[in-house]
Amino acid sequence: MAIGAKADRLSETGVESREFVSATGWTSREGLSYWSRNENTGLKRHHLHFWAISDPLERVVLRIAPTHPGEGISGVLRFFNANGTVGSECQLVIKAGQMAQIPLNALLANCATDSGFRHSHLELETAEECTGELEFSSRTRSSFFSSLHRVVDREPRAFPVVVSPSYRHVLALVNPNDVQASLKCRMYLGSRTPEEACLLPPRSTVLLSPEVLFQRVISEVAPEGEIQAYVRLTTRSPKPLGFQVLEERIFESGERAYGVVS
Amino acid sequence: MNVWSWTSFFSRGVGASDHGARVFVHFFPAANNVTAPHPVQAFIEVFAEGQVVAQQGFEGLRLNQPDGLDLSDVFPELFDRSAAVAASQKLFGITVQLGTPQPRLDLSRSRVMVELCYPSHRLRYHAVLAGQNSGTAAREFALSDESAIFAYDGYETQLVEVNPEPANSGEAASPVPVPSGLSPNAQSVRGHSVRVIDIDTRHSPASAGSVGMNGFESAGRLPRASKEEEGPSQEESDATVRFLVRYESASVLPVSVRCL
Repeated sequence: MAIGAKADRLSETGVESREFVSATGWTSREGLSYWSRNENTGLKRHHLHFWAISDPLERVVLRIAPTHPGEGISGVLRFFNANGTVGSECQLVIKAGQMAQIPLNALLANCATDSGFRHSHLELETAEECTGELEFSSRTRSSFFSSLHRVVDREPRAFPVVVSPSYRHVLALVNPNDVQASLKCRMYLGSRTPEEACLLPPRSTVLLSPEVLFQRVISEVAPEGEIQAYVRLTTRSPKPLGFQVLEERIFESGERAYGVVS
Repeated sequence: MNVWSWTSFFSRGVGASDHGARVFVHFFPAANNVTAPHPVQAFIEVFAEGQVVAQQGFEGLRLNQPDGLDLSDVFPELFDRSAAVAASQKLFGITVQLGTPQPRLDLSRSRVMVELCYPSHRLRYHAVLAGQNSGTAAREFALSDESAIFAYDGYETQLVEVNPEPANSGEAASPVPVPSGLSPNAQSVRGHSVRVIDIDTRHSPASAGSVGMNGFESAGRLPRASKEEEGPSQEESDATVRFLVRYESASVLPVSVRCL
């Protein structure tokens, strides 16, 4: 919150249209979705990635729709453990005009627990282009995850965080690729900008908490108060990586509310 | 100066309960292959019902450094309940321009985010870069049967259409035709407008199917909503950006904003 002097209106020289991953529909334009082609068969498959969490949340539901109205969906939904192994998978066949609303709690039951959450990286691989979102509910209210946000070489991402004893953040970093990747996580906290690097093995999911990662700097800058900060993610990976941010707010009553970035 | 523009909206209060929200705008100026902290300027324009109600430029942003501001600090008149504009208007469109005097810098990889801060929760969503809106395709999807699945979840769901282009002077405001199953609760104007369309989910099925380890079986077939018989209205603008917004029934607070 340090923007300086006011300025005059900017003079316009035109705005360019830029390419983005999905031109239509629900898929976040910033989201981790792409097409792949089998070199042997020539078949194209659409991939859409999510980060799903269950315990201690009460209800987790995945909603899927075809990007192009009128199409059906056929494919497979895979649940990856944090170490990149496939925990389970589920075949999907949805006729045109039908809805896909999939409760995930039972399917996530065998996934590992980390940072207090049972979680999994979900990959939806389909013959048709899909869009979707994931609803999760606490006792107080529901929140909605889009597909994973995309971060790739030359395309850094940043998101705001509130640093406060009442908040904690879980940053899920997902490497959906078959090669190891690295990613740098930098916090902008006042005039301090600590940075840490993180290695992501193939297909892995790593959970980070900025409050833990930068605990020393936070304790110096904002020992007890509430301060607006930012986290920036950069990678040299030419293949896109995914991330999702979960904000947990703990009220004095002990109730918890969750926030996301969409 | 090279300028890029993002479009979004924010609500100062919602429904009869009129919960006040603090509204933040976050910037993350970024450019390909450039890591130096070149200066970046911002210009914010807030509009509603065909008029620009507030605008202000800012200096001090730096390339690759996220930053933000509290709109109630910048535009206190929008959050003063006694002020005429704040009393009558709860939903505002907003455009954020980022510009740089460096001729070779391409800021299209930058991001702009809006944050609504309620006492109970925070809601953050990205603004849309001009030229990235998918025009009528997004509108068709938003009004299609398939999109109803996202509206069927016990929430009040609305489609918010934001037209950031300036209103044409001298043209009267007129409503846009709305397909059956949808009911407009605000009239559209020819620019600098925010239009809200309620999505009717009464005909959605009660069950969406079941899933097991052997696969998913879809049970509910969505009713075929009547298609929009008329083509896109002449008031449709290529710059129009659409968001799907869910409101919690009890508190009338938004819990989800999704760009289409």
